[in-house]
Amino acid sequence: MMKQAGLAAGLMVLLAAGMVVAQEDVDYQNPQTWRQEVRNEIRSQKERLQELRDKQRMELKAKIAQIRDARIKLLVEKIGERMCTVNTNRTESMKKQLETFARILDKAEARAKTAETAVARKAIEDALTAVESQSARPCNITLTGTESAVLRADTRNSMAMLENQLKGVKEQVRQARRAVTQAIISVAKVMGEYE
Amino acid sequence: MNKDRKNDQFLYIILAVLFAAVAVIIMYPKVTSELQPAVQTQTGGVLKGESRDLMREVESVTEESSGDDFGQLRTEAEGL
Repeated sequence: MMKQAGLAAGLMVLLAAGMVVAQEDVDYQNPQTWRQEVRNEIRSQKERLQELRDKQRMELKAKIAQIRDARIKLLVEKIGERMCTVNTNRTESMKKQLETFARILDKAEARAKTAETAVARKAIEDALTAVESQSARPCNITLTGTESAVLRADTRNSMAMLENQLKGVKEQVRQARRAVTQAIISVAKVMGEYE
Repeated sequence: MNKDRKNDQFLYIILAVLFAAVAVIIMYPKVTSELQPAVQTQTGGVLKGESRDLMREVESVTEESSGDDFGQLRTEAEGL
């Protein structure tokens, strides 16, 4: 009887402990826990953008099929593909930069955690979100017509839009770099390595 | 006696060499790190030690320009 009561009490304690731990999964003061939340957000955003991208591809394909001139048709396809390649290459490069910054910040945080290291961590996560979103964003040409002048204008506009989007993401990566620099200086002050 | 004394001296020499080797292994990275020039920050401060190394790592991460890519794309689009 006593044994059974003890076992029941033990199980209840374990259950309660499990519930407490589950509730404490996300501590917004601790970046180690909210990283998973950020990752989930990135994933769902990527899925939405992927759908948009597929939709754009289908629409472009339909419009290109209406272009009579074979040379122009080929050129539009080629430019569209190149734009997506540029987008992929640039976002991959920025992602690698951010991973390097994160690794450097890990080393700094292992020595001392400061307000600046938390700010840098957030800046890296924000930049990573922007880069991941950009990599999934529609990157091809958006065509509104098939006449030569319209094709030229649409191509130029699509290129300009992609260039601006990449510039915006690049600026976020720069902000992350500046934040990591400040974090290193703040840790240096704590460790007596700053004069 | 002389032989014992010589053996002891030999042992002391070996021990001294071992301790010296251990000291060099421990101190070498710190000494070479201190000999490297300090990194100056934009605010005018100077970083030393591991902080300096971390800052150098950040500075070694280079940005790539997408300007060339779009220049080429614009040139191709002229053919439309």
